[in-house]
Amino acid sequence: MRMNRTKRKLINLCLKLIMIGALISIVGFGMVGFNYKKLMNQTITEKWYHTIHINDENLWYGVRLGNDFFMMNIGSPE
Amino acid sequence: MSKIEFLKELEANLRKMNDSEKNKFITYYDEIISDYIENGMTEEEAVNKIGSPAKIAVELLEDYDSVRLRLPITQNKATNMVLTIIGFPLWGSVLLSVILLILSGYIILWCAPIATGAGSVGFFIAALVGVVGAPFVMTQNISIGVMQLGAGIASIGISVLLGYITIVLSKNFVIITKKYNAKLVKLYKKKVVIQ
Repeated sequence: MRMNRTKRKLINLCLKLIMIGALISIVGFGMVGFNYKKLMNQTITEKWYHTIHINDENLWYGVRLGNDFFMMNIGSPE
Repeated sequence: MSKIEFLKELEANLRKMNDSEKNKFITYYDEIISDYIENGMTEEEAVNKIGSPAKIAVELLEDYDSVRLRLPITQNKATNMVLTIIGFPLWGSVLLSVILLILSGYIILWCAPIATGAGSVGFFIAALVGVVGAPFVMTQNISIGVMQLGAGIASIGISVLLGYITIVLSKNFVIITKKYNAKLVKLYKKKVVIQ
C-alpha cells in the first residue's frame, strides 16, 4: 500500500514535470508571438548544449554530438 | 495366470494412460500371448514368459510421457549413425529454425523494455544538456532558451516515467522468461524413446 502510494507520487511528479515543461516551452514560443517565421529569423550559432535546433527548413529537438551523430532527436535533423 | 487375467491386470495398471494408448498395448500383448500359444506353449507358460503385468505397466508408463522417435530400422548402430549424418541437412535446418524461432520469441518479448529503457536514457541526456545549457542559450536568444528549458524539464519527467515503465516491464518479463525457459527445459528433459 505504501509502495503504491510512492509509485503514484512518482507518476504524478513525472506528469507535473511534463506539463510544467510544456507550459514553459509554450511561454518561450509565446515570447515571439507564436510566430514560427519570427523564431526562424532569430538564428543563433549552434553549440553542443543546444537541444532545440531551428533552421530555415525544420525544427528538431535533441542533442547533436557530432556533425552526423545525433542523440534523442525528435524531428529530422537533416 | 490366464490370458484374460493377465490382460485385465495390465489394463488396471495402465489406468493413467488414455484409452486409445491403453487399448493399443492390450491388443499388442493379446497378440503376443496368442502367438506363443500357436507356437505350442500353454496359456500359463505364455503369460509367464511375458512377465508380470504390473512390471510391464510400470515400464510402459515410464515411456508414456516421453518423446518417441521413429528412426530407420537398420538394426545397426553404425548405419543409424551414417543415416543421421547424411540426414543432417534436413534435421539440422529444422533444428536451426526451431532455435531461431525460440530466439526471436525472446527478442520480441524484450523489445518493449529495451525500447523504453533506451528512451529513458536518451531523454535523460537530452534533459541534462537542455537544462544545463538553457541559461547559455538565453544569453543568445531568450525565447529559444526558455523553450529549451521547458523541453528539458518535460524531458526529465518523460525520462523518469519511461525508466519506471522499463523497471515494471522488465520485472514482468523476467517472470515470463523464467516460465518460458522452464517449459522449454521440461520439453527437453523428457525421455526419448527410439523406436
